[in-house]
Amino acid sequence: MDLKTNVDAEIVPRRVNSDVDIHECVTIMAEIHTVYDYFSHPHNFTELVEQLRSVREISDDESIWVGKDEKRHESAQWEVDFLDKVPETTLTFQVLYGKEMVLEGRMDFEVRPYNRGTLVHVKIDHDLQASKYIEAMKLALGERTPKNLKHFLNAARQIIETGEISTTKGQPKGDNNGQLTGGKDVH
Amino acid sequence: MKAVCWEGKKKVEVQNVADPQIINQSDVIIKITSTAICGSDLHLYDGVIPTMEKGDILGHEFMGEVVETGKGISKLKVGDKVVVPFNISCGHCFHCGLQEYSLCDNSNPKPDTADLVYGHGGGGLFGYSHMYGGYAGGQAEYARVPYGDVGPLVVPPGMDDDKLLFLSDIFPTGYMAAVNCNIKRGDTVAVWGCGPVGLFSIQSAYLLGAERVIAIDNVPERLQMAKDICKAEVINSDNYDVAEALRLMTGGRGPDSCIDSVGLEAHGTDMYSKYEEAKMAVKLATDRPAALRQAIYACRKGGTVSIPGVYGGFLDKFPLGAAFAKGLTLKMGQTHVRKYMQTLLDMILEGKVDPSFLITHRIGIDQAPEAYETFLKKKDNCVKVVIKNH
Repeated sequence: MDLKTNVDAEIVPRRVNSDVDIHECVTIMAEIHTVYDYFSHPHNFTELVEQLRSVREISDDESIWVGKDEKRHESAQWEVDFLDKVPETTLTFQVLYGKEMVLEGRMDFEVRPYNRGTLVHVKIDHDLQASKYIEAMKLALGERTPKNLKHFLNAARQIIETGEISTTKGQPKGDNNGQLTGGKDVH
Repeated sequence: MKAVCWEGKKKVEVQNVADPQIINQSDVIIKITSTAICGSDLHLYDGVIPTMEKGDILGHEFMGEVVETGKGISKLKVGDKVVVPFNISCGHCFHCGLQEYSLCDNSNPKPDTADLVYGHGGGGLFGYSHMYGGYAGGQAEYARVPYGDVGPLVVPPGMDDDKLLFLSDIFPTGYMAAVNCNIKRGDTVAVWGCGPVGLFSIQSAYLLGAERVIAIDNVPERLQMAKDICKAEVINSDNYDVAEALRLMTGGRGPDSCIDSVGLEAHGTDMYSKYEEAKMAVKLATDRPAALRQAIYACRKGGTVSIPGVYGGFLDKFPLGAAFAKGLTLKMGQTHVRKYMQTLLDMILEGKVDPSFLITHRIGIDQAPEAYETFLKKKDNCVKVVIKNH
């Protein structure tokens, strides 16, 4: 089937295993203005991405992201610019690493009918030099980029819907050697 | 605190571990007064549920007293006596909005394995593998309960734990199994397995209007309970061809609905079952659906097969052709416990049901490893083990 002739082609993700073809979505049970507002403020993302240390918004459309470069064990910095903002509809963005644009993408927002929430649809273009693109995405989202983008969106859904991210980090566990792991021994 | 930890196949130990603490703002800490060993814990004990890790704290049926609340808690207060559902539900996602609490989108922090194997991950469960979130369980002295305003049910103070504890899992599980049968006046319901879920399925089928309930098992003591306490007609599967017996008992038509409360480790006597046991022993099969197969064959045309028993993987010799040809409805899944807790608590308070009839063994936590073995081998007429703390 030629997806280009399919009317739904734009919403059908291509079946590839490459790191450079990313297409992901999530549906969030919240009003569209709440969801759009969350994603249009990148400082929110520090609670979603483990290796992201900080996001500094330098204007309404520009932000500086500082993360940990796991491979080099050092901090890395990149700039994320919103190219276009259509409230409650679309955010398009580009990522600059150094002074070079390394990727661009868009987020589309859509109200699902009959109280089924807000659809967030992320598409990242790859008409760019793949190695730089991959490098940038790994910096932004970690080593396994497509899966991490899914995690990122699911974590955003958790924050918007419940105000927190589910976790088991810090809970007790047996280790059979008398050492107490996780939690604290207070009772 | 003391906790029952999984250390490998057929090996659980009581260990001293750290006490749980509030991690998220919606957490509460429960001082556990009573907790039970579930039949589905035996699947973990048998090592047939993947993604368990050494040191994991077991247990998903527990109740107790709230001793600490996170900043985001508004409905519970310290001192409340609560029963905790075995599934963890956020209360805000699409599925929780539909009261499909076991399918919560947000409560499983590790959904990748289930996403891969099942297409979509389910919600988090206490003490039931990392595929279901890796949450520490309730066979312990204390437990952290996420989304404390959503799951735990406040129960009247002063009531005996034994009457309330099973609201955490097996009573709602048996009840949902019967609800899924869409029972109508005059219906006959057949129930495979007279363990705790099976016995509650029998009671629930009557509560929902079944005319007759026929119970199938091969453990005489359990059949006796089904007959004497739950008022079921019974078939010992060691002595009869179950499908043929059911056909004759129902005037040739078959039961209107069939409940498989056995699940993935059924012990059938037919050739397929022996073949499956051999395959499972060498890890070439994930499940032994002998009871499910019988239920599909026995069920009347146009009937319903309801599956509260746990299945984990890819079934061999599953008679989908029979289910299709007979136009059966199959309903299944982890129980949406919170949906049914209040209704069932009201029935208990009104004296319509006393779930404590099930308890055959009351122990201290230190005896848990021995109790797992007793329960697995159905020794000492063991039907239900309750661990008493504090």
